[in-house]
Amino acid sequence: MNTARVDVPPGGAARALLLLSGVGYALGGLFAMLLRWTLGFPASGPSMATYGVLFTLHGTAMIFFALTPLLSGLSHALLPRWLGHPTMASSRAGWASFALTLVGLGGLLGGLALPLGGASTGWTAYPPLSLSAASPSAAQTLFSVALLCAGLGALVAAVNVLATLARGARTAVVPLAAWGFGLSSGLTVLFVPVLVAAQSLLIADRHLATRFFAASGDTLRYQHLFWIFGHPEVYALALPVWAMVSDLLAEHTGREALGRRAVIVSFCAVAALGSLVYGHHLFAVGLGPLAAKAFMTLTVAVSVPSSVVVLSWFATLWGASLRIDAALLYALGSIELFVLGGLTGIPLGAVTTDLYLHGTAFVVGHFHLVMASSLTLGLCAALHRWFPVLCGRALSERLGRWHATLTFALVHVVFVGMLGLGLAGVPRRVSELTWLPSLARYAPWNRLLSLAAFALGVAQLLLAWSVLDALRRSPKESR
Amino acid sequence: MGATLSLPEDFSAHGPRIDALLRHSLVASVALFALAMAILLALVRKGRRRTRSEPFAPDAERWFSRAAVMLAAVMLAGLDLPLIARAERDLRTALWAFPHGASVVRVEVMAHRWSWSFRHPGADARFGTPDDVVSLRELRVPLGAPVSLSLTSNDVVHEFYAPGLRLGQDAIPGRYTRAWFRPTRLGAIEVVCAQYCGWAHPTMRAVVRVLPRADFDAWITEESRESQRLYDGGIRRPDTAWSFDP
Repeated sequence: MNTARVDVPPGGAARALLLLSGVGYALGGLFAMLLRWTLGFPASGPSMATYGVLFTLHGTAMIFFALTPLLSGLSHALLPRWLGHPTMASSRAGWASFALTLVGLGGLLGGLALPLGGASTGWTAYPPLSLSAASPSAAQTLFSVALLCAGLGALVAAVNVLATLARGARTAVVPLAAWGFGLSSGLTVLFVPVLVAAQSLLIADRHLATRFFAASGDTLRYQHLFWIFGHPEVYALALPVWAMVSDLLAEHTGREALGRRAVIVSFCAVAALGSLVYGHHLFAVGLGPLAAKAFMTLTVAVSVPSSVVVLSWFATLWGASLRIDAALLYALGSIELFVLGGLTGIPLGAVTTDLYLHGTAFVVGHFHLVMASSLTLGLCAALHRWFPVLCGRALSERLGRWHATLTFALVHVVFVGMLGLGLAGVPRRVSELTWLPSLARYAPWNRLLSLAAFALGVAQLLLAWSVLDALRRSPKESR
Repeated sequence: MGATLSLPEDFSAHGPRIDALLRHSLVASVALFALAMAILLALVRKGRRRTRSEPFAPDAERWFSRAAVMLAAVMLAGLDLPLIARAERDLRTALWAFPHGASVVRVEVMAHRWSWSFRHPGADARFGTPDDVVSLRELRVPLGAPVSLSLTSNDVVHEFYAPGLRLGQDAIPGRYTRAWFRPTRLGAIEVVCAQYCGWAHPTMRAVVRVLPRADFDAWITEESRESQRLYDGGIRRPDTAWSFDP
C-alpha cells in the first residue's frame, strides 16, 4: 500500500459487521432467487401474495442488512489503518451499530412468523398501503422497527467514522476511500434521521391513531420524507465504493490517482447534488411544474461530476502497466457497470420519459446495474484487496477470477434484460404477466431472465466458498 | 423465445414526442457508452503489454484539470442541456398543457383495490348529477378529442399506467392528480396499475377503448339517458376536483 504504512488489525466490531453483512447478502440473495422463481415460473413458484413479501424482504435486506453493514464494517476495519491511528474514535460504537443492525434484521425476519405473514409493501412502505387498514399484520410495524434499528445502526457507525476522521491523519497521504467514507457518513448523519422520523410517524399512525400519512392527513408527506433519505442513501453507499476503486487502480499501477483534487471535488459535488434530487422519485405524483423541472435539472446534472470520476479512472490507467488479477478484474467490471448503469439513469431524470418508465422494470434494471452490479463488483474488488488485512489470508485468486467473470456476464443478461422489458412497458412488481393480456407475450423473457438470475445466484456460491475457505484456513493468531 | 422487445404501439398525440426523447437519450447513451468502453479497452490492452508504469508527466495534473473541465462542458452542453430543454418543452407544450373548453372529454378516474372506475359527466356536462355515466374497467373515449383525467383513489396509492398512451400518473387518496391525452387511432389500450397496491396488484387492469366520434356520442347519450332513468334519487355527491376547473 502506497498510502498507509501502519499495520492495525481490525477490531471485533468491524468483523462482526462484516459477518452480519454476509448473512444479509445470503438472505437478500435467497429472497431474490425465490421472487425470480415466481416471475419466471408463476405456476410452480411462490404465490402472488408471497411474492409481495419476497420483494419487500429482498430490497430491505440488500440495502439495510447487506450493503450498509458491509460498508460500516469496512470503514471500521480500515479507517484506523488508513489514518495511522490504533483504533476508531469509539470502540463501542461499532458494537452498538452491529447490535442495532442485528436487532433490525431479527425484526424483519421475525415478521415472517406472525399470523398474517411478513410485511409486503416494498422496501419503501408507502402509506396508506402500510397503514393498518391495508396491512393489518404486526409484521408491518416490525418492518418499520427494523428500518428504525438499521437506520440508527448506520447512524452510530457514521458518527464514529466522522469522529475518527476528525482526529486527523498521521499518514502521509490519506487514501481517497477516507474521503469516500467521510462523505458517505456525512450523508448518513444528515438524512437517516429523516428516515427515523418517517418510520416513527408511520408507527404512530398504525398504533396511536394519528393521521400524519392517512388519506385524511397527507399521504404524500411520507413519500417526500422517504426519498429525502432514500436518494442520498444511494450516494452514501456508492461514494466509498468509487473511492476504493480509485485507490485500487492507483495502487495497482504503482502511482497516485491522477486528478486527486478534481476527484475529491467531484465526490463532494455528487454528495451535494445527490442530496437535492430526491424529487425524481415523485415525478408521477403531480409535483408542481417548477419543482419537477428543478428536480429534473439537478438530477441530470449529477452526470457532470460522475463523468469526471470516470475520467480520473481512465487517467489513472493511462500509461500504466496492468497485471490483470481478480481485484483489478472486479474493479474494471465495476467501472463498466457504473458507466452503463449511470447512463440508463438519464431517461429517468427527464420528466417526460420518466413518466413512461418510472413504474416499469426499466427502473429495476437501472438501479440493479448501479447498486447490485457496479457497487457489488467494486466491493468485491475491495474485499480481495483487503481480505489479507481483515483475516490474515488472501482470497483465492482463481475463484475470484471465475466469480468476477461469471457475475459480470450474468448481471448484464439479467439487468439489461429488465431495461428492455421496461422499455416495452412491462410494470415492475407484477408477479405474473399473464394477467395483463397486452404484455403476456413477454412472459418468456421473464423466464429467460429468471434462469440467468438463478445462474447468477449459483455463481455467488463461488464467492461464499472462497470467503469461507479463507476464514477456515486463516491463522488463529490473526483472528 | 417470446415477442421481440419493443415500445408498444402508440395511440396518443404526445406519444411520438416521448418516443423521440427516449430514442434521443438512448442513442446518446449508447454513443457515450461505446466511446467510454473503447477507451477503457484500449487502456487495458496497452496496459497489459507494458512491463512498467510510465511516470506521469510533470504537468499531468494540469492536463487532467483541463480535460475534466472540457468533459464537464461536453456533458452539460452535449447531453444534459438539450435533454432538459426538450423535456421542458414537451411538458410545457404537451403533457402539462391541459386542454380546456367544450371539446374536452372530462373523466373522473377512481382507483380502488383492484380495479378502476371511470365517470363521465353525461349529457348535462356536470359531475355529480343523475345522468353521470359510470363504468368499471373500461374507459370509452372518442377518437381525436382531448381526454382530461382527474384521478384519485379511495384506498391506497395506485398508478394509472397506459403504455400505449405513453401515460403514467399516480392516483393518490386524499388528492386529485391530472393527466390528459388525445387518442389518434381507434383501438383498445390496456391500462395497468404501476404502483404496488397489495397482493392482487397484477390483476388491477382496465381498457381504454377509442371509438369513432359518432359511436362514442351515441353510446354516451344512451348511457346518460339510462343513468337518468335508473336514478333512485340518492345523493350523488361529486367527488372530483372538476368544480375547480376553469
